[in-house]
Amino acid sequence: MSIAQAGVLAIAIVCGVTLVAGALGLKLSRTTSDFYVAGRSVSAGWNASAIGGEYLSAASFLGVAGLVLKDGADALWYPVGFTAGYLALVLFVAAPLRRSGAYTVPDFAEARLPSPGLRRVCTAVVLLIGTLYLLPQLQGAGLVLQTVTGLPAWTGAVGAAVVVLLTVLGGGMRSITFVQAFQFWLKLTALAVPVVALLLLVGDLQPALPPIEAFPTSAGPGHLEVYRTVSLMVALLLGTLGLPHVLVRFYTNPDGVAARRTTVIVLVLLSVFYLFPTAFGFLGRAFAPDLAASGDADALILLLPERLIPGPLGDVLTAFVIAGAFAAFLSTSSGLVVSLAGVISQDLLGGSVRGFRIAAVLSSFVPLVVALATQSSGLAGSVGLVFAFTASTLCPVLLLGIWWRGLTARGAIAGMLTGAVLSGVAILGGAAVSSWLPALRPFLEQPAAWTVPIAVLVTVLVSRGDRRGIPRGTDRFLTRLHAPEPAGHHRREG
Amino acid sequence: MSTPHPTGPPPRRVRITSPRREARRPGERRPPAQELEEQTGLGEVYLSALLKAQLRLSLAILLGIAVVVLGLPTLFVLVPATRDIHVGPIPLPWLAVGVLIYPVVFLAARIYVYQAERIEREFSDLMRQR
Repeated sequence: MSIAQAGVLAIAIVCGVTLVAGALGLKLSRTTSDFYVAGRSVSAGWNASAIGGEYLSAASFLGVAGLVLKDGADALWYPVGFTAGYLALVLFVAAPLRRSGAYTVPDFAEARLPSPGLRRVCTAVVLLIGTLYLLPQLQGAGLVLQTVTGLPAWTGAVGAAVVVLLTVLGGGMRSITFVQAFQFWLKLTALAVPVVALLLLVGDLQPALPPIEAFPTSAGPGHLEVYRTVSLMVALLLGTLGLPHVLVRFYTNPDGVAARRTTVIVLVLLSVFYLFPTAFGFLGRAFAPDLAASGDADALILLLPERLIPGPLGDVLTAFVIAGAFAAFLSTSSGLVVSLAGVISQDLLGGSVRGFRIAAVLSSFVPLVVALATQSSGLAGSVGLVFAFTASTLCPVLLLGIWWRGLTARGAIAGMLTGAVLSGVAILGGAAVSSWLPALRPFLEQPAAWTVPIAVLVTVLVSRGDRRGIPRGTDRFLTRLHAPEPAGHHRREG
Repeated sequence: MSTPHPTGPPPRRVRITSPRREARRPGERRPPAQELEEQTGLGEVYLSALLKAQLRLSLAILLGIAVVVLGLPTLFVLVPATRDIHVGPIPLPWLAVGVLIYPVVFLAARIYVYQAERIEREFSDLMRQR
């Protein structure tokens, strides 16, 4: 069996299992009047695995290793930020958001500040973020299929979009905590087995580069550009707070205390997971440095096993990695499509089942068209920019809404629009501006360190100047967010 | 005590001058949870104390992590000898950011959860007082 056949078989198995699980989920959710009631009985460990399963995307699975290969030690901050985002989540958001009873940021904003205008702006921002986040997933799927079979990249993107859409229409994978939890362990195994096998076998091989060149101390964290690193960490830490497909998962925790404990377990799971892409990146730097130059860095974990261990064993390991990569696209993409479709159908199509299905078609095909029309510029990097945008828009509303009595709807809208415009301009126009003003380049490539503070400042100033004052019921709502649930009451009215 | 205060035993004349129909009888104390529920001025004090305690804890933990995250590169710059330590083929700075940072982040989260639950327990105990 050739490598292409093994790869296609692995992809088919993952897609098949996902579709079957989605169909079973439909039956399951039909027998339960409200599948979130069942969800709330799920233990913290399962819940955390499910959050990890939904969170670990193409950027984590392929992108981190590719970035370590290409950029060396500076890239190591990406997985640190992806993980530490959950520290920010537990510190500022997890328990209060669970107690608020809101599924999404628009829901939260509306409960906190009754204003249809604010809800509309939040909805628009969430749709934009979801779409931007879907692009690298679909482009990653295209990359995998192209690398493995030689088919053009669009086939993989279209195939992934179709499977995601079928899963979502066939019951919504999000409803089944078990499937997402299974996806996490599948992804972990799919990276861990090849890494361990490679580490055991490469002892006899001669590295392409001696260690001193593969891991130059001069390019290490000792010489990092401080601004870029700080700005990246701000984007990744705060961006995690607003990701639509992550927030919705917190609702399956029974209460605020459980939401915190679940988040800590997620942190552990992610810490273990990211060891393996990092190890892949290290191996790549020593044994396959040529991939960085040829622009195939994101395909590193697909190409390395076969290159180091030619023969059937290498093929099997590659098939493993391909299965995990597809699991990563499918779980993150279906989580995103479900979140997007939920928001669209609720806000624009009246919230019916038919509306949800139309919305699901829209939210998979619009990103697909954009993904086919644009070129991927490194998976982890483009996801990093989505985090910067999320951190500049949704994060000020969430943080100030949870921790500051004085927030008003006008302030929230002003801050969100400011953050959206600033980070949007930096991301889209950054290349053009920095070509004639090179000094601005780092500030435009990693904008979060200045866009987030400005967005927060605008939110605070406009809220202060809002003559309508803070809405009535603010104290009551904040009490619900922060006061522990009374013993015996597992959940207050959502 | 010159002003009536709900937590202290009020002087007898409060009952006569109070316009509220549900005015307290001497010796009776209102539970804090009720103050919170009725959004009285005192309830606001309880809430802002809880908010401040939790926010202060969160910011302290965040600051601690920021010190570690920014401190590591600073250490490698200031003490060049640390850059030449190797574990196998991997230099220490690579290993520190790639591996060693994660347990620190976990520890910070674990400490936070413990302390946050302690603050909430104390708040619940306060609310149950009569």
